[in-house]
Amino acid sequence: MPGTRAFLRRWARHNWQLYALALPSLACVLLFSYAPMYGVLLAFKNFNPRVGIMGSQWVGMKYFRQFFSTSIVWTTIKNTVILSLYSLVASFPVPIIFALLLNQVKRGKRFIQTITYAPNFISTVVLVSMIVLFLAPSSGFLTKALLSMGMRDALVLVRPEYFRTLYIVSGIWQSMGFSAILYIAALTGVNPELHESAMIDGADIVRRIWHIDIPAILPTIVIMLILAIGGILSVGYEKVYLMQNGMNLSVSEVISTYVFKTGIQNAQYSFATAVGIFNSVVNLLLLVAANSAARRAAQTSLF
Amino acid sequence: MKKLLPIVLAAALALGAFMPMLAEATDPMAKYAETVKLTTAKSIGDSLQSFIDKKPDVLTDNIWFNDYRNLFNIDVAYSWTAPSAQYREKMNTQIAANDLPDFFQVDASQLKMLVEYGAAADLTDVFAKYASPFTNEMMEADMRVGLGQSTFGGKLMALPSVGGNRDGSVFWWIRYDWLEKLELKEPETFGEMLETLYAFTNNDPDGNGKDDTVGLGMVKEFITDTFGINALSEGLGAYITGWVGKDGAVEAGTIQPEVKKALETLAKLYADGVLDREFIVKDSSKVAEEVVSGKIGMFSGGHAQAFWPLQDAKNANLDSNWRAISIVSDNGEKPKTMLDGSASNFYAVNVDCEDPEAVVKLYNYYYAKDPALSPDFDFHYHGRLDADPESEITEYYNWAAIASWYPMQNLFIHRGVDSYFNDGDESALENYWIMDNINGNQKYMDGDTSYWSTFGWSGPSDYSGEGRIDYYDKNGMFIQNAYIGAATDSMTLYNVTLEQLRLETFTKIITGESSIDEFDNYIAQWKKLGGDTITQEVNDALK
Repeated sequence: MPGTRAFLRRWARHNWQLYALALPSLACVLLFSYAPMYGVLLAFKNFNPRVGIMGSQWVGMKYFRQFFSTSIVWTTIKNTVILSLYSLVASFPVPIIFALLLNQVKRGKRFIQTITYAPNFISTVVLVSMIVLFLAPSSGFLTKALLSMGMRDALVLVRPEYFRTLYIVSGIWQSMGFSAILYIAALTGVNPELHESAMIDGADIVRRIWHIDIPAILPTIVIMLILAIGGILSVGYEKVYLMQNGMNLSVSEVISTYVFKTGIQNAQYSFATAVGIFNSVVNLLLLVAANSAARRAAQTSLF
Repeated sequence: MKKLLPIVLAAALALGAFMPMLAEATDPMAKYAETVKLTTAKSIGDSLQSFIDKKPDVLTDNIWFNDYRNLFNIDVAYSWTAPSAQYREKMNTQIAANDLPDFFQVDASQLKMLVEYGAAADLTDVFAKYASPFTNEMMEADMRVGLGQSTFGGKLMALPSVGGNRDGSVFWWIRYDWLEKLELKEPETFGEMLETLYAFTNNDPDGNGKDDTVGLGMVKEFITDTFGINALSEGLGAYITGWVGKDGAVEAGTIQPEVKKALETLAKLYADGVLDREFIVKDSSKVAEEVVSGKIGMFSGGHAQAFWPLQDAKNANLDSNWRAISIVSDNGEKPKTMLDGSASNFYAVNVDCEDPEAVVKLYNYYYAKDPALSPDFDFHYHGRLDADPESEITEYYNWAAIASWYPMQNLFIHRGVDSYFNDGDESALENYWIMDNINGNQKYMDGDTSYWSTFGWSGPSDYSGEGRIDYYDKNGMFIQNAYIGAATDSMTLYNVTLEQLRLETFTKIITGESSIDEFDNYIAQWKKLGGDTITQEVNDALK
């Protein structure tokens, strides 16, 4: 054993620069990702700030039981899952297709790229105001266009059946260009010689995309898909909250908006923490499941 | 000032006579021998911020704070301030961090939290000992409703910032010029009100030959007084957000059969285009815009609508004549408007504060100087009316560390204005607030339409906002909400769901998406989703 310890000490002395380099990021992770986990305790305690988290009374699973005793719980979970699944299905392939097409463009590539990723820099509040403005019942230009295409009335904004479409389409418009950057970068790594030899063999554009470009970016696609599945229950509250109104609540109340309303606005911290933990655990399970499925199917995985 | 002198002399004499006695008892307004330091927090509105921009130290160097120091030897300092829109959340954070000043303003649910945490001081004894006679008089004028709201388990846990609850009355604002043009009489029954709404929609009341008016304007979140459905529903005895007594117990207003009737009416009005068919996407600023531009004939509102948006409506169209009329019933009985608590804010004292009685002194002092009824009233403490708000600092009442109002002040002003113009009562001019409003009303009557809001608010008839409240008061048209306490535990848990269910169901019924039978389903749902638990808790709390 002394020999091992001496070896470790020597090893550490030799590589101290590497440790020094890793230290700041390690500290960051400890400080901002692990230290706050202490707060997870809140979910199991009846929080009283006068005595602090440690001094507060232990109530076990009370807040989890409370969450599941409210009737709204299944609606919010269902709405959250449906909204993210639809988003995933509808918006995940779009940037990939866009990147593959852009890769074939010979001139004006930069221009198109700039135009398409500009919307990413519009804040959510502004984006939602734009939606409201364009779809206003009497003055919105999109309303008029849709009416002339045979929509039944001018109330796109409040009809629950349009909520998800609006949410997803505006999301695609906003994030397509930006999400494509990663795939475009991966595509630039494809060796041009592969394309040249394929052309000599008589492969057309579709064949080349299918047999050269897609396999080249497949690992990126899989990793992005795993990450997206891991976030399936974390629909951000901002945009949904802004798009909510009395008529569409049956489809637009998601876990995060519910936590915001009960937890933050009514200062029910323990309750909000419990719901937050539930959310994270489900996300973690989905991430692990997606990861192992990907490892088996495509031999690519996060871990 | 002449009038004040004898009062001051009398007070001095009285004090002198009682001095020997009071030396033993506590003098509520005695000066401390040693400086007492207190910390607090403040919510900063837009106009306050503009004064701070002009004079950065105005927060602690002003007429109130200087008196606190000089008369009581109390040195008040601000631990923190926050813009008014963020004050509540900032206070939530401070409560959660257990980092609280000596005294501070909270709302009802925060107060309840503080009491549960044991963070608020019990003020029962200090208030009994230090509240001045005039402060007690004001509490009586409030029928002790504010104190009741601040009492938990028989203990006074905060000082209420009393606002008075009569001002929460709801009534109809109506285009009286349209009414006269169409040769209709003022609606006194529910049926007549509906006729009026249809006429305002269909008979071209603005005479421009276009079908561009609606009878009733409304906002998308319509379960409210201002631009909501409350004037219509309360007329039918439906108190959607309140609690009503029934068979010796208390029940939620939202599930009563009267609500069904109100929704049925609204659905009919919507189908006939009498209720604005685009209301589901309109917020209050949008509805206000349409009131101003002359598209709307009637809306539900309170006394404050005289200032907003009706002054703008007058500016935009000098022929428009908005008047406040009573809500109407459909069964020949007197309609009643529901009154809530009289305080929506409270001053809690930190349980660790060593001088809680000092806070009661500041409370007394505000009552001594601000209400025009007080023997020590001095208008300088309220603010200079001649000051130019653009360049000078005014609104001094906003600078006090604690503020609580004479709960009948607005009615009192209206009654003074009314007796001056209708009975020629010159003595009304002696009260500062009344005089100020008499001047405004006189200017309007002399043709200056920029003073319409004063006329519409306190004007000498039943048709001004406060005039309508006075009419309600004289005719017994108030009903007290049976539960005005803070949200119970299950309310905090279930209200988000229940309010969502309510808004969704009601919206669907009104717009014809669901039939009116959906209301029975709503009652069952409401009970199941936590409503029964809440009702139980409310009844327990009232026992």
